[in-house]
Amino acid sequence: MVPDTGTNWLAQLRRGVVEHCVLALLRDGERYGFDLARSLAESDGLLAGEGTIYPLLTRLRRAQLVESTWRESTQGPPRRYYRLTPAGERALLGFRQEWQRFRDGVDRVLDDGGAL
Amino acid sequence: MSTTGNETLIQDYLRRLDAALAALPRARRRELVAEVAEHIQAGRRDLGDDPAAVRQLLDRVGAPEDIAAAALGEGRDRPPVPRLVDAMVPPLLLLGGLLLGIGWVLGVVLLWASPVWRWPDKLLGTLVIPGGLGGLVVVLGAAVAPAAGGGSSCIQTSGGPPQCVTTGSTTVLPVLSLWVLVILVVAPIAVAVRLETVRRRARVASGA
Repeated sequence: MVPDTGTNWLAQLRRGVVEHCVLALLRDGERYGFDLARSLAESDGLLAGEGTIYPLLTRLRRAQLVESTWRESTQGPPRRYYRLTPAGERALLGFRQEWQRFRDGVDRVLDDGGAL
Repeated sequence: MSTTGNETLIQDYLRRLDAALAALPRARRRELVAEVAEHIQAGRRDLGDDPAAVRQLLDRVGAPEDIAAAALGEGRDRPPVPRLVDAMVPPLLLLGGLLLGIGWVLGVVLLWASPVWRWPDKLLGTLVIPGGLGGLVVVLGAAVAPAAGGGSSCIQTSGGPPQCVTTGSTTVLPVLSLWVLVILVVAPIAVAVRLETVRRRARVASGA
């Protein structure tokens, strides 16, 4: 095994976090892959590339946190629209609560080495 | 550059993506390449024919290796990390049969215990050809034995010429066994090469 080489931790961090960002983007209704990728890519550093959203959407679909429907599009081929399942809504809620604690904890340690 | 130049850029990109996804099951690989191709087409609708803009679009879509890394983690937390013993599996299956078959049996056990190969490859490794090159020795032995035990025997009858009888098959076996021998040599080697290729891909994919 090669030890982590600088950017590996970023990939691991993204994996857990970005999935929940996708769930958050679906909070207000269904969206399609291209649209989701562009929205996420606007926040710098969240995606390694817009194309990485598709494996991620597959993972969410398999975990039954989102479901998808194909719809005709006025421009171009049919699009696959994603929306939250009840399990996805619960996962998003749980993440929001934990994330705040987690982020505050990391910030505190980074800012002053954890001194109180 | 023209539209065809841009098409070439995009096709090259998709080909690189397809190659980077080699470790995925074929159906999954095809689906993902189609999704990314559609993403690129959706992105192109807002662009002109400027090749610089197309290059920038492909940059935004991301490095094929990054997309592959994301895809290989699907469905499980991380891709399987090949262990050192996995490296022994192809040589054991190929040559282990020569050591009274014990090496081959060990190879099969390790093959089925490993997370690196999927079940079709495990079946392939087990059934083609049991014993690996050891099977060759068995068949060769069986082919040589009747020839050695048989051969010609002649009876001298009084007055007449000696009457000779040849035992052991000498006509059908050589033709048949030539093909059998080729298969016995080529098939185990091909399977060992395939298993080794899959193992190396898994090693690259897991970053180990």
